[in-house]
Amino acid sequence: MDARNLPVRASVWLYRSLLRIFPAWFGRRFAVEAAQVFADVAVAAYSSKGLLGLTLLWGRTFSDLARGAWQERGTYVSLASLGATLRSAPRAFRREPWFSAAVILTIGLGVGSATAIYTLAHGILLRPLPFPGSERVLALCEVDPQTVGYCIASPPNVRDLGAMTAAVDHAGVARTWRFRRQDGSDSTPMRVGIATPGFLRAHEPSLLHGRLFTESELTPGDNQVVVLMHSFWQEWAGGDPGVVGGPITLDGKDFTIVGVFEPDTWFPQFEHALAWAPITATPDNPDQRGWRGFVSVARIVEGVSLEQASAELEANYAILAAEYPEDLAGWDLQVERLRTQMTGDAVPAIRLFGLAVTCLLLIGCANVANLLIVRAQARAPETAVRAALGAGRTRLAAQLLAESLMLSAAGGVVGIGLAVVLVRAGIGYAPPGIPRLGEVGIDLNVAGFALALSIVTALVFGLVPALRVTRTDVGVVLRGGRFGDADAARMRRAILVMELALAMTLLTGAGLGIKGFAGLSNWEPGFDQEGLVITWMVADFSQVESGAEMVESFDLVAHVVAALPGIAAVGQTSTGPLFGGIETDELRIEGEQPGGQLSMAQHFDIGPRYFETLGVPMVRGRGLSDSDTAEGAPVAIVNEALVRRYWPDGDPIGAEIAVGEHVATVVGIVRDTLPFAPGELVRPSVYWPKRQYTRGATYLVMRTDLAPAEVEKLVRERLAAEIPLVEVTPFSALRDLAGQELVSPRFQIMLLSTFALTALLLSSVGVYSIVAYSVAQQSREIGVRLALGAHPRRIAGEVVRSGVRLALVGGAIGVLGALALARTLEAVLHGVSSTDPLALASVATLFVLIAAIACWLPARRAARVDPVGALRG
Amino acid sequence: MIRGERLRDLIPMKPEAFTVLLTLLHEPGHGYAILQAAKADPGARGDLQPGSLYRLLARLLDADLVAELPASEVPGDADTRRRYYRITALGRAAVEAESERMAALVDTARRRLVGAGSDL
Repeated sequence: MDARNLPVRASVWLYRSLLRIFPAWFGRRFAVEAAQVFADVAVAAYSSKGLLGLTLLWGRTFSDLARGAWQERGTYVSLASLGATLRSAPRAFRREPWFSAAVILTIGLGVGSATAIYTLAHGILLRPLPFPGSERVLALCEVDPQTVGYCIASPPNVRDLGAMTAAVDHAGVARTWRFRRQDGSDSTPMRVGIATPGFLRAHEPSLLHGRLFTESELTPGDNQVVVLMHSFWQEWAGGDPGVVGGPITLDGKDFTIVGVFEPDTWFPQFEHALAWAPITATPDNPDQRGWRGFVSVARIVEGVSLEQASAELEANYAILAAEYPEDLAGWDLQVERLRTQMTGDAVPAIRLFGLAVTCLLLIGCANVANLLIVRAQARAPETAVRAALGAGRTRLAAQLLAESLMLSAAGGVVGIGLAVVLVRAGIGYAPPGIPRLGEVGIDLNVAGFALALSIVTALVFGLVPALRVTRTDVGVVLRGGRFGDADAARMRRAILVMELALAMTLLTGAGLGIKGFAGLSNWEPGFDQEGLVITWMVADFSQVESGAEMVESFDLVAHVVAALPGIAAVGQTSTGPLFGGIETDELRIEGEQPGGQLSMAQHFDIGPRYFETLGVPMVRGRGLSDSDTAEGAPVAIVNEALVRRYWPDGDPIGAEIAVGEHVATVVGIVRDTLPFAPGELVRPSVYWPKRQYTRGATYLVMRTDLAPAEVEKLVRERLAAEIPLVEVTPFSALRDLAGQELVSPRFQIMLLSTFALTALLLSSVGVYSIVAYSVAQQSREIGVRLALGAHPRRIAGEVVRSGVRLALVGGAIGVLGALALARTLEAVLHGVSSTDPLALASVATLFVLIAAIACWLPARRAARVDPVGALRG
Repeated sequence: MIRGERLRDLIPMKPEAFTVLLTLLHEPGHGYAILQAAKADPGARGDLQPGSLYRLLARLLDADLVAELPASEVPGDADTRRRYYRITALGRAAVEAESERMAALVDTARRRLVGAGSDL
């Protein structure tokens, strides 16, 4: 058993302790053996079902032990005495309402917030795939060294793999296509998923009406069929089932609607597709092994493991590679669960939240433990007297057990209630666009773990100190009234230091997170973000003859828009910061020997005045001009990062570079644009004139004082009148795009901060209760010192110092803990250095301040102790 | 007929005790093995927990139905840290007697059910 089996080891320890409620003869004969067998059972439960298994086991074990003790000790614990025990538990609650409330609330707060926050983090970051059997859906990715990070596949390869592999039943590919839909004289662009039937079937979608299209409908001629998504059907046809079997006009052709999906159907990565058509329904020919522009999934046959399925798929891919070397050489097949592929980024964050949950729970447990130890101290005389008067240890233990269980059960109920409320509230703050967020339910695993931990804490710390009292000579307890003080005080302080350390670890994590977030929100790209409005333009392919004509229409749009009132400047680009994604290709510098390290560069094709519109200055050479046309010599502009990397000492102007197949001469160097994530390096970038590198679509970037909606209205009106063949998407401000990027990190930071503040609250309550208790215990001594002339301020100072000393020790350990977690933190909080001295210093200051305040309240009481009263009492 | 009298005292047997004896009929076993075997028994009612198992073993040991296997007889490849238990001759006789009692009971039940018009 190693450290990972801590829950098992703790369980065995607890079991061995609980076996003491059986008669002594049983302990002598079987305790060791029964504990050994319990350990075997616990290991089996833990390794098959984790903490849930262990929790269930404890449910059975408690009832087994209780029944056993009941039967074996029938002579001692009569029915009447059990009733008395049970009745005495609520009585204890009434006798010590503040103590009970403190325990219940601490457990409730710990269990509730830990469960809620973990549930939210898990439900939101891990975005479960909400379709039947999603665990069995695989993503098939063809990878080569240059496409690392992408998951792409070619239709013929996936078709063959699906046919060859017995371990998967449905396999298929899909991508999106923008059709134009004609409704009478109206024409609207419409995003449609084009797929093979296997792709759809792998998701096991349910249909509200009609059917899916079939393999035979992939044949050209039969392929003008379409299945509508529910939301589109509602919007377009008003939910009329009569449209099934009827036509819909896409790109000028009549398609037959063969079905409608159920409302909750969801195809991951295709959230924007309004309908699904056969993969052959576009002008492209998907039957090319080398064309890998598709997403691919496969479904594992029930009962087959992921390992078996991937092994079989990979072996079959090797067979295909031998058969089609020209298209597959250098490529490999990578198989993973679709879920893993889609949520891989969130795993470090989930791990971080798991750690935070554990910290928080331990802090809560530490408080409960301290409260119980204090109570056992206070009750020592009573317990000792009852033991001396002949109450059996069993009887005492049974009573304490009943009380502890009642307290932790009540705390658990409060906690689960709190968790439900917090989860509801948290969902309200979640970033938009997370599917089925409303269905996120309490994470039973975490709730069970939290509850089990608090029950164990209550049992151990409620029982053990009290039972120790019964072993001691009653005279000692009654005479001194201070049985085991030194021991108990040391234990309490150790527990307090531990909880302070955990709180400090959490606070440090949150502090670094907040700093990282501030870095994100203070993005300074090197140009003014205000007043930049962006839209995406597409030309109607059926109306333009050539690429050149298309670029001409885009230039015309740029020209028309630039003349509109309120528009200061207009540029065009294929992608840009925060919009359009990234395009990367291999970079070669003419005259250099190939075969060195593979060089990569981002590439952009831009229109004239793009840099002027953004406000990014040229460093050297010239920018693009209207004279850089398709007929002119190919030119390129590079950024400073590319120069630093490839011409650290030389001059790139006049050099020939090739990115992919495109060769051009460097004519200028432009200033770097800093990436959004702080700490991320500026990538080497190459810019070409759009006119020399033709594309079907482009972003239009406008600098203006107008709101995006106003610009959109103006531009749309002009385009409809003058250039109807160009279509634009909704306009957005770059500022808003940056804001959207911040939504998810803001939410994570909010969760983490909630954690840290709860931890701080719980641990300051801990500091307060310990210091207050020790002040109350020493009131006689303080009274004597005051009577002898000690200054109240000095007494108060001593009290505060004693608490702050503990906080400093705990804080120091906590910082070490945070440093140990550095790598996890850095993986989640991009661009944050976990050793940031400023963040550490501010967190530490806050921490000590809070601890000092928690000490100050009891210190004030200490200073006001009435010497006469204290000495008399 | 001391044995006969003792057997009469032992019958009818608690179902759990019967299950534990059944698991030991063919070979000796340690506590965990008994639990596992009992779990696999199709007639077993619910899970036997370690606490109940050892309370039961105590009764069976005291009644001479089960005996602890001396260390020298523990199989060579076995886990020597554990104690092994075997069924005694009396235990075997008790299992036989209990089975006969149950078989007789089942026969009666079937006859009467047939009489009452059931398909059994």
